[in-house]
Amino acid sequence: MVTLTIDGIQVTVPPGTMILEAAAKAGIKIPTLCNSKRLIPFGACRVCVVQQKGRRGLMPACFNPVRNGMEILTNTPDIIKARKIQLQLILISHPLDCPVCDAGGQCELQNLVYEYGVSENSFKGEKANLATDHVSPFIERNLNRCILCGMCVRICDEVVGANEISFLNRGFKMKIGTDFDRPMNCEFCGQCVSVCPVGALNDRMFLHKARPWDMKETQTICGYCGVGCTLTVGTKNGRILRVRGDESRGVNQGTLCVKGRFGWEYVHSPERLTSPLIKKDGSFVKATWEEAIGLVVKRLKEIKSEKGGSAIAGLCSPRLTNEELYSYQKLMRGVLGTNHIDHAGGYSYAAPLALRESLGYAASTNSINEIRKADVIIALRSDLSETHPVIKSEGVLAVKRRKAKLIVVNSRNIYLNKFSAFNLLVKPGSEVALINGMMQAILQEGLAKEEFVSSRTEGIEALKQSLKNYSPEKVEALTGVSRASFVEAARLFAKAVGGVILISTGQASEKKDRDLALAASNLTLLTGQIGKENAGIFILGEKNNSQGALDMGLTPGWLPGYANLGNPSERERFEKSWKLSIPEQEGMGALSILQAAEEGKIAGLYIAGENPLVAYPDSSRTKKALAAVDFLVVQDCFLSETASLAQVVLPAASFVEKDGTFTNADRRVQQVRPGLYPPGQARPDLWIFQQLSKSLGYKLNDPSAKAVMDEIKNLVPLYGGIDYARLDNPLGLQWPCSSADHPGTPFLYEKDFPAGKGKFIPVEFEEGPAETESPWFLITGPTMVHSGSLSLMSPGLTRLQGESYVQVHPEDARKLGLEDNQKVILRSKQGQITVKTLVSWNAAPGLLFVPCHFGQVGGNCLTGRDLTITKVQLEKV
Amino acid sequence: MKASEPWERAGDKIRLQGFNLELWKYEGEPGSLIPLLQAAQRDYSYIPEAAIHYISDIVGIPPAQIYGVITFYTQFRLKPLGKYLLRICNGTACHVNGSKLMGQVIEDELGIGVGQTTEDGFFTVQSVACLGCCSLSPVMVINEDTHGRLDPRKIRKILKSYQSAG
Ligand code: SF4
Ligand code: SF4
Ligand code: SF4
Ligand code: FES
Repeated sequence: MVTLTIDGIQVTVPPGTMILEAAAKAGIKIPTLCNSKRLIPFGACRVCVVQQKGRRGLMPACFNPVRNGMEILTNTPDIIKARKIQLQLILISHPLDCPVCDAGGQCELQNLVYEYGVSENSFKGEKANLATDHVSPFIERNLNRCILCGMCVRICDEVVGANEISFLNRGFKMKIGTDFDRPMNCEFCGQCVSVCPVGALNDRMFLHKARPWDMKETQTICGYCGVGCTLTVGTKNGRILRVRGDESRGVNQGTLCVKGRFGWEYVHSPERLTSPLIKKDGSFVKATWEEAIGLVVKRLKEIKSEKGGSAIAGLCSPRLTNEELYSYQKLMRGVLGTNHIDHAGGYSYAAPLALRESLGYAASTNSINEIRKADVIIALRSDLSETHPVIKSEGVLAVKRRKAKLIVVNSRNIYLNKFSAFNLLVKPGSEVALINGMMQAILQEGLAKEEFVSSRTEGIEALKQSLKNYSPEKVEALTGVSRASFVEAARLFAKAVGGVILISTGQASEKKDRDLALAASNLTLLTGQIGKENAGIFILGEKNNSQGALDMGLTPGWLPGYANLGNPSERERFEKSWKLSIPEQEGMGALSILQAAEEGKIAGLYIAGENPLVAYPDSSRTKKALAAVDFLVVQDCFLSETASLAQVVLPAASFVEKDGTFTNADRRVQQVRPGLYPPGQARPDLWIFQQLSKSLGYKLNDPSAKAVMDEIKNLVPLYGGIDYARLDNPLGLQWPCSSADHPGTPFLYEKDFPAGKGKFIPVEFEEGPAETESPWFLITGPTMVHSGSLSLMSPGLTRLQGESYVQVHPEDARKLGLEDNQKVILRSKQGQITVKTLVSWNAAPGLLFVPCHFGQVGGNCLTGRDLTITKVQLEKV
Repeated sequence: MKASEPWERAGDKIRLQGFNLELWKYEGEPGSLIPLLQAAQRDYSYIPEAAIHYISDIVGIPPAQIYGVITFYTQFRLKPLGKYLLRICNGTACHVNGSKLMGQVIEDELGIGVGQTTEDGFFTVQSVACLGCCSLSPVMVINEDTHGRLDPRKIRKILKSYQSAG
């Protein structure tokens, strides 16, 4: 540690700390114009100058590390004079159009000019006169206001890794721009806007909407993906005006993706449901809550008494809060008497459950911010820049700052390869064979962590036995990856100080997800990359509360907190507390529910927030199944494709209109806070569940989300210490958190595994059934811009990407004589779609990619429910 | 981008035809950016957009950053040289003998300043330190031909003769 004094105040900080941070620790604020804690110090603006006692000259505080015994002065007349001069130099070319500038009120230049009283300027020069960029989506560039601090260029490079913008020209003509000054065409994450200290880069949606101090700002959690970024939502007069990230809060530390920052427009979409709807003679008519709930209750009661609870089923979206998900399963199980409940198609959570088998907990092992400190990262079948952009930034930080090695295992040439040391391009579905091959290489070369294996794991013999079949030659043949590269990747991972494996889940096969997660778990156990910081396995859920849905027992066989439904004493524990009885029989999963519906066995289906018609595989079969249900209730923000088939539609609140908690991909329970009231008659899902239950004659729980969490924490030991008062902090709490004084668990298995030892569970690679008639492999998945149906209701996002497409590799395109943007028909056994081509090197030869959004022309029109690899035919129109 | 440029679009990448494939030996070496840009400029007389993308692939530096480097150094051009490269001498002797005025005349006649190329792609004007024929000052060289003892009238006549020669 280093001790120094700053303006007479003594501070002790770790070596390498910059004077600026040390001063902050001493409570002294030094002005800055080119510094952000998210960036490497740059030293461009020189307003942060300070003086070392006994030395002449000034030095930038952001750029100079502390030394023992230093005496730093931050506020002498010399310093103030120097800062004033710097400000005057900046003001030579600055337009000072503050009254019409959106940064007004939160502009760091304006604030400093005010603070230092710079009212005159003895320097004269021309004002900058550059054209404003009115064209780029989401971001307005008015470079006349630019002070060339370089923060936008640096964040786009250091954190985002997109390098869209750069310094151009030199001297007086220097400016920020793209190559050939074209409009921006990038990730539109808006990080550049968020760091710009002045009004040079602006959020286009926020232009001239409000002064910052006129808005109410609410800290909440993003409603899109499992990263769980903290959003600061600015509202005024009942409308969202701006969303930004706050660098002192959340796992994202200010970083957001295009969906989180700019994808909120759906909240104010005119298509939002504002009243319950009841179908009469084939068309919907508006109804009151009493009528709608009355009808739902009447019909569900009838079904229950005629056919029993097992004729009722429920599908619920992992977008809901923990409190809602918990209440939903309580309502379905206890009040309506059915265990046929599921979420996210039932195929998105095989990976965490697999980790539960091998390691103990059904979740990521470590914390998201540890990824940036790892030195080897395997992105296993994870197109992170599309699925979890903020996790991609963690990877970028690791690679760029710590020279970490990124190993990409994918069947496409994904964008992430820009940063990878190894691009292991596998044949579709052969990831497991590759991991097995890596483990075999590790064993052969004696790189396994013997001590860890012998003291903390069991089942190594069975693993060794099964790996015998995975010689480098064979794995090379199975995966198509050269042995030299995967063996070298294996060595790297085995020798890493911190080795991390990232697996994003969602649109993949259940069987494959389980195998993939088990293979990853075997690899980390073999190499001891688990139970320590900066290592482990991450299961990155597709939706904002994918983890919570599992924790809250939204599955046919698990009660909240992974209590086994089949175990009478576990069941009893819940029954006693609820004063309800729970059916003994394990329920059906989502796809079985649809199957049963098709066979006429499901009379009542209650869907909350899910849109199976778009999100589940084999759309045409899903449609048949839904049509066969006697009574379909759908609760949603929009009249989704699924809702339009319903008899009753209940209008739900969006995530900014309710309170509760989400649990993100690193087991972090975080508080969701309302910034708005729901439109019209729309209500939070929790309210709806409680009203329904009340009308069914049972008080579900106390009305507030807080009270429901209090109920949860008494029944779910993992959440035992989760309390709203404790959640009111910038980072939430990570389960397991067993009691009020438990600090939460940043990484799991430090001392032991819940079952004592970590289990090796060998997995064999099975080649999918060889289908020969259809030549093309089809991969479906999310894209960076969209996530299910909500994002499609945001005009800004659909302007970026408004229609479905099929990505084709240029070599294939050449062979087929296909142009970019040409219409083609894709046909599988399940259906066909007509889409336009997008010729891209990101595809791989022989493999097509179609986004899974876009209802009638999305990938799910082609996929099958058996969820093995889909193959399709391609024809030109 | 002009159709006559030596590039080919394949998917979302641009491939340059005839670009020296040997240059791939610099793959992953950001330090070789400048020599690569010089090579491109030597081969094409300027740096085509396609070359920027190609070089970006080789050295792993993003296009925006390469564009930043190109615009930083005066040696690089983003437009083809004109058919006639007009270099006006600005050495001591020429300077003393009125090269500044000659430069102004050229600018008035062609409508472009030093470092620029006329719209029709005919002339590119550059200024050089000394052409080594001070006895003829003020001097300019158009492609290989030296024109000395310039005065405004003479300059106009010379430029006309090139223009009418086509
Ligand atoms: S929006 Fe994001 S990707 Fe685009 S320039 Fe800004 S920081 Fe870079
Ligand atoms: S645009 Fe903003 S962030 Fe970028 S250099 Fe200029 S002032 Fe700095
Ligand atoms: S979608 Fe995911 S990565 Fe993007 S801002 Fe929201 S939580 Fe963060
Ligand atoms: S903040 Fe230190 S030089 Fe800009």
